[in-house]
Amino acid sequence: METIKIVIMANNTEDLLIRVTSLFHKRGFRIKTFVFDETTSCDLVKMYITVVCDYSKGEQMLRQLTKLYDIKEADLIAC
Amino acid sequence: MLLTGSQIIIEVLKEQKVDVIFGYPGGHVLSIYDELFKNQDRIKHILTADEQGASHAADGYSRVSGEVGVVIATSGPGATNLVTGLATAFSDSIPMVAITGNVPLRLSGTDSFQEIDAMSLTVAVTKHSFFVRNVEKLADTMRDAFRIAKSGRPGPVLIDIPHDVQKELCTFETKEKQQKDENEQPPIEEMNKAVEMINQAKRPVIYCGGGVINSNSAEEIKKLAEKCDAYVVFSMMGLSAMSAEHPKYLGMAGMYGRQDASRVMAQADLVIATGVRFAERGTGDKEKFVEKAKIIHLDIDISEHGKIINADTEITGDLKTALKYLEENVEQKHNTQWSEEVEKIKQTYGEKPADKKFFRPKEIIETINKIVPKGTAVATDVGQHQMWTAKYYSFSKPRTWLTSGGFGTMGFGMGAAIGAAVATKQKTLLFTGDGSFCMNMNEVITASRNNLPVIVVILNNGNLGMIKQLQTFFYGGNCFSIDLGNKTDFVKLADAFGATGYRAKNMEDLEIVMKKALQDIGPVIIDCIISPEENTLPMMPPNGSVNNIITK
Repeated sequence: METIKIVIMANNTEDLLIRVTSLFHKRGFRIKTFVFDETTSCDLVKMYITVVCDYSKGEQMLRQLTKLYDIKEADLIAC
Repeated sequence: MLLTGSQIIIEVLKEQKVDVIFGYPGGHVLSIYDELFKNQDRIKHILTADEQGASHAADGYSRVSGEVGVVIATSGPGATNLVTGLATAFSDSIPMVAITGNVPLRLSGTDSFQEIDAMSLTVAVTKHSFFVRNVEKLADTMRDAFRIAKSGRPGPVLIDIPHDVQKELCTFETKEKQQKDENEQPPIEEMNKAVEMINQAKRPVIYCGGGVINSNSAEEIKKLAEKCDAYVVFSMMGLSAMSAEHPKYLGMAGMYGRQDASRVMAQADLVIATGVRFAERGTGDKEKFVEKAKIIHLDIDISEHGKIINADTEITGDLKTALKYLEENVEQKHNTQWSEEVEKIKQTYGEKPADKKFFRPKEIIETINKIVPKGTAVATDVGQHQMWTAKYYSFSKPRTWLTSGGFGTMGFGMGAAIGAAVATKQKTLLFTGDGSFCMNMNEVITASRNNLPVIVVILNNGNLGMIKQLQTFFYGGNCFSIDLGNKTDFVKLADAFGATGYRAKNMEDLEIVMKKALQDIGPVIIDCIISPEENTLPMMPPNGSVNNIITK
């Protein structure tokens, strides 16, 4: 188990937060930290989410996140 | 042209070539229903008894036709009644669009009458959901909903539209029918690796899942099986992808599957898993699942790779393209020794032939199978009857098998059969249990009202049979809350609902009433009285393997 950070770039929609957080909950993750930030484009936002899990589970979470309609990019960084 | 939101909804439905929708009216969809009234010559609306039934009907319609099923419901309880149907479709990857009304925007968020946040409510059970605040975005949102529903791994999408948005005006221009996104092409390098693995295999098995049906790849699976001389084993959702009469067909493997199918897969040196998600009902203990084999896993959805099983070769992309490439590039094989071994396994562990002097589920299902026309659509509910149908009914072509595989929704069957009958306009079978049937039997009213040719065969054992079986084997025989009391007369019930009812207590009765049922107009209910002691065996225990299959 390790702390990993997932970085997401997404469309700035009113339902984005609920979709991302409920997906983490559905897949059995507990979010350790969550930072939601603006970007230079008002249409896009960035999220930095840390969780504690096996790296392979983190990779699986990344694959699940990229299926969400409003997510443009998602990357995994081990901390 | 200048149109209201409701008019735009109808125009987009016409654009998408939708000619039937299932639904139930309510206060906050009346504007849409007014437009449906004016467009009855183009779009048929089937009124159901309940929104859940409507969602299962749209699902059944989609499974049989391959088109996007459409359901409409009002706000509040209308939307909440859709949740089970949406979850059922989501679990089985069925393309659907659900349209719900909502309170006007000025009342939104004030706990208004019949208000619910339908978009958030359905986050867990849809591919995506939309809340349309602006009528100018309505047309493109609807088009997007259809595109999302049928693209990639299909699934349900919900659009929630406030009542004032339904009435506002804006400019609308018709566009061509929205096509689905082009599927990702499978990578050549991985496919060539798979070709090499198939060429080297001496004991190959194809594990066929629902993705083969969703991608319309039945022909490609058959050709690949014949080219590489592989036997074909199925998950429950994969059944009907290949004719049961094909010499390489082995049937369903897994928890309630055929023992010979599970054992053959356990002996394979290569499993070509196509459009399966390795659900635990199919795999059992994943550490012991196909211990001896290498695995090639083909799926449109990248997140299925590595979710449960780590395959040796993962191929993400369009299944039809991948299967065609494999078939064209593998060598023609004749695995004679493997075929001999498989035939021995089939002789030792295969199903015993039916004996028509007994009135048992196997004999009932196989007899009905022979009487109805080939290619009849067959729906089930959930429970023992579902597993018996999966094992004993021989499907001849895809998109004739409707069952709630992933979600296991009791009450799915009647709505699904209605959807299938509307799509095919042919006789449709529903095998159900007395427990499941009672969950949504109100939809018999819908079938009667519309004269739909649904033949309901109730395998009536007076129990919640599957629960009783599990309590018997795993809870020390403490059978509780499973006795249904045997006080319901389904023949009288059929008459009360405007359907035709029959009872069958033996094979002779059954053959007579089935032949009558094929001639009857409208829905028919056949109450088949079977023994409460019948179990669904053999059974692999939860998290089990072929080493601990229960046979009695």
